Amino acid sequence: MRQTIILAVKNLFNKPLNLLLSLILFALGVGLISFLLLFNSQLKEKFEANLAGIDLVIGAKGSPLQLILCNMYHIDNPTGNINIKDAKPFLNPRHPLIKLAVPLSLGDNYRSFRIVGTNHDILKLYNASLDQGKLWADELEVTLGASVAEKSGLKVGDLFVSSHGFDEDPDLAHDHAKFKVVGTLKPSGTVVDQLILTRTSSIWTMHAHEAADTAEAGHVHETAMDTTHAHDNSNLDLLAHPDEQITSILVLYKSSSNYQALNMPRAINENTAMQAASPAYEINKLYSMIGTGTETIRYIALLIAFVSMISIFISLYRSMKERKYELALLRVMGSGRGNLFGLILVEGVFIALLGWLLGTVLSHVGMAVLGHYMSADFRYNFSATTLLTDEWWLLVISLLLGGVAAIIPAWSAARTDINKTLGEK
Amino acid sequence: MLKTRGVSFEYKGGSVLKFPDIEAKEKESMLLLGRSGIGKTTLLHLLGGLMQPATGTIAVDQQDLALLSGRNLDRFRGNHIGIVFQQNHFIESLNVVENITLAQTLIGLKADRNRAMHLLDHLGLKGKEYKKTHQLSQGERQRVAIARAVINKPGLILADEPTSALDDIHCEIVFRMLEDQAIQENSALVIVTHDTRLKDLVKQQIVLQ
Repeated sequence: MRQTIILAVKNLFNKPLNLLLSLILFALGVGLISFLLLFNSQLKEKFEANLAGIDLVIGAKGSPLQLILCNMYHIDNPTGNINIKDAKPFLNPRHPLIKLAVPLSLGDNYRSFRIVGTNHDILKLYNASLDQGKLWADELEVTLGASVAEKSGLKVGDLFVSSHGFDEDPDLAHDHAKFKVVGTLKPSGTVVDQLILTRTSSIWTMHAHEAADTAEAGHVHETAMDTTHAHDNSNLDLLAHPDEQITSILVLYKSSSNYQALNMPRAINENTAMQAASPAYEINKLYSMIGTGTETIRYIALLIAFVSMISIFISLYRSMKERKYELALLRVMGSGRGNLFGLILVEGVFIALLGWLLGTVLSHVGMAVLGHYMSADFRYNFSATTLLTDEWWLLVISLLLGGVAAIIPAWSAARTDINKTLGEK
Repeated sequence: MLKTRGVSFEYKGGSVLKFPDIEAKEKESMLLLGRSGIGKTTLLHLLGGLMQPATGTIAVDQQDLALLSGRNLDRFRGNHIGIVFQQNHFIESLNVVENITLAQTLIGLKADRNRAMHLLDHLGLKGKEYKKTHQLSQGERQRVAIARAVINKPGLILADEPTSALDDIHCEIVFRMLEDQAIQENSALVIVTHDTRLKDLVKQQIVLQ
């Protein structure tokens, strides 16, 4: 058995170009499938971790998917802002249906990390907790998500200038005021890791100043400069500023099966200038859209896998014919038919094993490269090192494919006619 | 260590070939002579256990080949019969030493590299041990084939036209080499050939008709 395996491997490496061709094709098929498995599972995992039990997102009218992507996943741009006076009922802590309402104000970034004006309730939503320093309290104080802290190199006590919008752009820097890092969060595996959290009024201050700058007029923003008011950053505090704006509210129902709760989104969409979108519904819609794409790639990958199986078959069959003297010789030297069958079979299975290995390495390297870009664009850290159960299944299937491709050549090898082959001069 | 009695072979077309009885003892050499097409290769394959005769018995090392079948016959052949073909084929992916020790590992023996090296040295192939077989000359390849045929100390060495492509000098050298190995390893040497030059070198001769 050991002898057969050694001989099979030596035979394969004796024709490196043939081996390479079969390997590349097989690795391409396996790599694509494994990459899809990785990508899908991680995307789903991240999407689900970030659902965070949120029942409803209320924001400006526009695309509901965009509203969800922007405010829950922090991928897309906001649909616009909503006035606090319009959102009043939902920010009211005594609302009969709402357990938790977390306001979000977007608009600034630091090195593409979004600065989110909100209150401490957001930590409950994502199960995030403090690592170093303290949580944001005063205006312009920020607490960093774990990935932000790691990647930006900012530490507690550092000051930084934010930039307007969602992409880093030095021309849009708000250089009149600086944010101060007062704390960092522990990694939570959710989107919070990628965010810079501050109080809502920090965002107002930043943009009020900007408005004053550009408007030329000496009009000083009333709320931002309102130092007499006690800012406790609660929803009640927000309600005290009805003319200000926020981007959205993340809503958790007291009971999501409540009849009235089920009717709330429609009521908002029909009767107010705002829209309400259900994350579960929108994300399922997104899955089915991505699904069509990945389905197509999956069929292409299966096609490549099938072609690579044929390539292994042809390559083994040809080399078996070329080596018919060798095979006859092995019989003369004492190999049984079973040994010859095993020899060719091992060659096929070995190509499959190497191909799987190469394909898996390729897909994980691909995932690492993609993850590098995705973490910036999609605010997710993709892991390239986990090996999924499905990938082990892929190994089993690969070995079976290699074996099936080798069966006909192996069978012909076992049937080698020694007398005829050796009789040919 | 070869003994045959009343061996005949029937071709697919139905024509039957009858062969004379052959007996060769250890350290003995024997020539099986005959013109082309007389069935020399067929006889060699019968003696080597690569074919089954229609009638008669073939015994190698006191073992009737007809009583062995399938895997057992393959193993027995690997152990007790060494064959040198007219065209010497090797496993291309293996080097010279590996090609020789393969004859051992294929039948489940441990590879004896020292013996393989010793044989190569004895056959004048020192320094060629780690070459691929396609890098060798025709004469060198034939000597590797001889080493491979005798590595397991077989009771019977069969050689198919080992000298017909050689000039007079090399004809004798190759024969002496085979004879020498047969004596060293206590084997019987049977050469199937139409090369009449060997007639002067080997006493025991059977002419096929």
